[in-house]
Amino acid sequence: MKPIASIIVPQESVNDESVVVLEMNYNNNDFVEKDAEVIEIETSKTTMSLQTSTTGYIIYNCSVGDEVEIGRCVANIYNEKYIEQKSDSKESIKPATEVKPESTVVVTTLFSINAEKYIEENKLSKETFAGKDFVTLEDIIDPHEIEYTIEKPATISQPKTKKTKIITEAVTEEKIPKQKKKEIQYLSSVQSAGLNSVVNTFVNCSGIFEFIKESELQLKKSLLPIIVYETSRLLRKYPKLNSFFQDDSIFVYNDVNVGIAMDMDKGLKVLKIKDTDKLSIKGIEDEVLVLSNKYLEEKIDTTDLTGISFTITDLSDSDISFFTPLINMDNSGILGVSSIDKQLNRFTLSLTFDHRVTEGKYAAVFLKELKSRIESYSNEIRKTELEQKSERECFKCHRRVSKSMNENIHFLKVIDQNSNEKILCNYCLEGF
Amino acid sequence: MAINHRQIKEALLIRYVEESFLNLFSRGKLNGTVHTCVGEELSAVAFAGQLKKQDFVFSNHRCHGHYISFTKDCKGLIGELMGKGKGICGGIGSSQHLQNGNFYSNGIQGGIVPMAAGHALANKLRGNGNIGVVYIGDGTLGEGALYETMNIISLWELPLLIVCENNGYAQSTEQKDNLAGNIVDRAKAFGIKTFDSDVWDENKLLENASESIEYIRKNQKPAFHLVNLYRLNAHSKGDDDRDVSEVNKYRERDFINKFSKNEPHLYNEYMEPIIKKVDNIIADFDGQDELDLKEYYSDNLVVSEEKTWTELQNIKQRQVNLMNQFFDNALKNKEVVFIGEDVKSPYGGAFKVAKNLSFNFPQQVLTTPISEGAITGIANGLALAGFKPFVEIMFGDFVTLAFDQIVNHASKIHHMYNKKVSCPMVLRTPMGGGRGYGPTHSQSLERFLLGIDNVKLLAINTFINPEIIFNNVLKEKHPTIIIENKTDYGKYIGPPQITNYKFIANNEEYPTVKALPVLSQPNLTIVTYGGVAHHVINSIEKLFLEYEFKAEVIILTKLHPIDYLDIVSSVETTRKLVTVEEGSIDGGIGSEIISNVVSKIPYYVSTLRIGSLPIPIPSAKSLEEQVLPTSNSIVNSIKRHFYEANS
Repeated sequence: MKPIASIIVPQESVNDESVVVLEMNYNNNDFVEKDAEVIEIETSKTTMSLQTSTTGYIIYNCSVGDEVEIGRCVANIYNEKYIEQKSDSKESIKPATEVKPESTVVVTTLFSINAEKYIEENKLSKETFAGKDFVTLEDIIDPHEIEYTIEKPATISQPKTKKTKIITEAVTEEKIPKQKKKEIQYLSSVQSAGLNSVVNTFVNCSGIFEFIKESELQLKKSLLPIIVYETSRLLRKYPKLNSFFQDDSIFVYNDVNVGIAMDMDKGLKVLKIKDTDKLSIKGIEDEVLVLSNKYLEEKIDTTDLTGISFTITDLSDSDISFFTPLINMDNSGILGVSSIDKQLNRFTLSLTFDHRVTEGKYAAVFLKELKSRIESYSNEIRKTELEQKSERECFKCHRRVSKSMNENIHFLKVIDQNSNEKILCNYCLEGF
Repeated sequence: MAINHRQIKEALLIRYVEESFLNLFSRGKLNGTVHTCVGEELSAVAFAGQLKKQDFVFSNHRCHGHYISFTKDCKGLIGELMGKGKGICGGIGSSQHLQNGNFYSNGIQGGIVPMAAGHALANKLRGNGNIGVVYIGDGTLGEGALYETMNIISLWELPLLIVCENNGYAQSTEQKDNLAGNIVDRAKAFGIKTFDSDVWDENKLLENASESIEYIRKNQKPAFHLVNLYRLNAHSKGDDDRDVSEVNKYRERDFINKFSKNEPHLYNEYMEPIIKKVDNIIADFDGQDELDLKEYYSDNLVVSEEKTWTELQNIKQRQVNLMNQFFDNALKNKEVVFIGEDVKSPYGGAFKVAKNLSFNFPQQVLTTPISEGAITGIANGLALAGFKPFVEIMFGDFVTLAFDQIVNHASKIHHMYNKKVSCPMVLRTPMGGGRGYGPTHSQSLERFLLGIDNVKLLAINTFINPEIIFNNVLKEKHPTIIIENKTDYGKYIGPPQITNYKFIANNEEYPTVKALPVLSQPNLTIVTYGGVAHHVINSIEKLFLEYEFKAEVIILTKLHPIDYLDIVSSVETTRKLVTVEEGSIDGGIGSEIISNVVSKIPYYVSTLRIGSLPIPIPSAKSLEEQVLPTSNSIVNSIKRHFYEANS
């Protein structure tokens, strides 16, 4: 049924974009005469009545207190009583500003268009995201960012055993925290395939600390910056350890972004040193210090956690001889650094690798070369006198030129971008 | 009335001080320049010298004589010109910018006249019977502010005497080259009583001066007094191209020269103590220090250490009504004045902020002629006299007409008088388009008002109750400009409903509002203010749905000086900063915010400024929508800059 007339909110003041309904002078379906004042509104200037232009039965489209935009219809006049379809035809007018005594925002999960599409294509359950306010595509596909578990993750093996009644009697149950669940999820990703293997080697560290002592490095008791420096360069030579396995393919990362596992009472986290292979030892040390501070101050953001291509975990201050590190999600290798045996002046490097990506030989050659590179720092120090005479060093890693102590080290004269002649060691050359 | 010996001694003192200044200048003891009134001393003695202490004087660049005659303080003046910390304004103002009690001078031609009118209005409102004198030169007859003010003082019957010292030159330009018509006819045209004197008939001058002062005191009406005189020295120093024979002719007519010739014994007797006194003052000041920068300037930006953020609530009231309520309450204080064009009720101002106020407070709500410069100057004068004036500039576009009063007067007063006085005037004006008013009634010119020293720039919005802001403005000790928005007046105050967003505000005197996701970490920072904030808020949902931006929107109330803490802390997380303003962006508020934020963050931040197109705002609806920032254009700009660039 079509109305024979409509009552529209007029523009009465330049300021107003809406008016407030103060009073409705009739009930719905009341008969109103032409020119009857049917509704009272308030503009910013004044209160005023709106009249009907014709005689008929009135149906209001608003309620008292509603804020109604200028130009909107507040009531219709019909030829006859309007009963059945009243609710269908009622123009919905929402107040522009609702007064709510409660200020608590009710969360309704919103999905971005891309997220929506991905969920549909991958048949994921939206309920998984209940309680979230906004869900983006990145939230779904990059688990580093999310703080929820996907309902049916493809790669996580579910525990087969069930809790038995005996457990409640014999032990106290402690629910694992969210953080731990997330850790399990990340590590399960590679470990669950069960095709990992480990190679270990001893590294002789006598003399290395003398090198560090003389250097500009701040952390005088840590080998980590040197290990990260040499590892990141070697990863260019051994790209399969800078990759990950998925869906019968090996994906090699374009960049070397080494992650450092940190666990200083604020949960285990792997933090990224971006473009590690392009940094100097000092640059790496600075990054490690920045990341440790961020970790301790809990200021880590998502960029620090994502895009890690290889992981190094350093347990050297825990007095352990060797251990088997677990490969992080979307990685194919992890290097573990054990404590120094002070009597023997050595420590263990352990490399866990994903056997789906590479083999033991490849990993062993990598580790052997790494060992040799690290030990070369100490070899240099033993040749103190010769070094001081020559005063020459690799401009990248600051290894000093020596004649014969380590036959694997060679030096080349190179020209840098400023046409200056510099010395570069074969390790640094090969590492790029 | 015959000139008395006290007056002769005063004239001799002025001349000796002026000649000493010229001497000090030659010896390199004065920094800057000096405008002396040699030959014009009797004008100072006749007017400033015959006022009461409670009266006031506003003077111009050639003000030393007026200062000495009114304040009797030649020590403070000498120290000031010698640039010493113990000068009357700490050496900040020097020759042209003096203040001592009710004496003020400024070097801008014409600008002091409306300020003097404001001071006279303050006297009238207080009903204290005090009057004031404003000295102008004949060169100032070229300034529009003078005529705007003459119209108002006549209309409002303000007790102010304009003394026009006519020395025949505007700096070096002869009057025949810069002035048309008759001088006193100008004042007569406004219905102002006029007087006409010269310094060569000293007795007549004193008598006329006294008569004009008494006329104002008795009738509480303005008057205009033309005094013909001649400047015997250069405009300032070494810039005199006048005919020597002309100058010599006036030297012979000069009262002091005649007095020294005719009464040499008396002259010497009077001069001896003057010379001794002035020379001693100069000698005393000679070794003294100039003001230390620390005494002149301190960074007073107060950043509250602990901010409390609370969720915003809806107030079922329109912005304009809340502002109106504020004034209805504030005007109960007799020293609050509401001044503007068309503000008288029943009209109550173009946007109805003044609705009914003039019914309730007829003395304090003043509807004015169309004279933005003069009414802003009057507000400055009122503020100097201890009032709290609120000027309404009908459209923000017209604020350019008040710019001299804001920049050269309100902004300077506190510091150039070495912090002895302040000017707590408030100027409110609506900016913004969206109503089809076209190129000169739709602009957002706040970028021109940004960064004016010592002038706070605020922008109200519809998220915060304007009463909070105005109540704090009421307490401000310095000039404040409030930007309003035409499209906001009729809106209701409170946060809009945006899915999964909360609106919070802090407890600062000019609260910052934040709109942010209830749970998620934002990945984009948008800083905005005023009316355009609505368009930003309306873009939030689309920015997320289509481009996955979870924006944190920071809506500033205080645009100058800006507290950057909240912006920096947001950008540290998001690394993406967008500014949205309604005016065009070049040299704008966005530029200012971005440059500051970037300088405070040591790593790369991707930035984007959004504003209107750099062309006059068209009236045609569809064109206007395309020129001004809207929620659609905001989304599109952000998409182009951050989204497409990365995909």
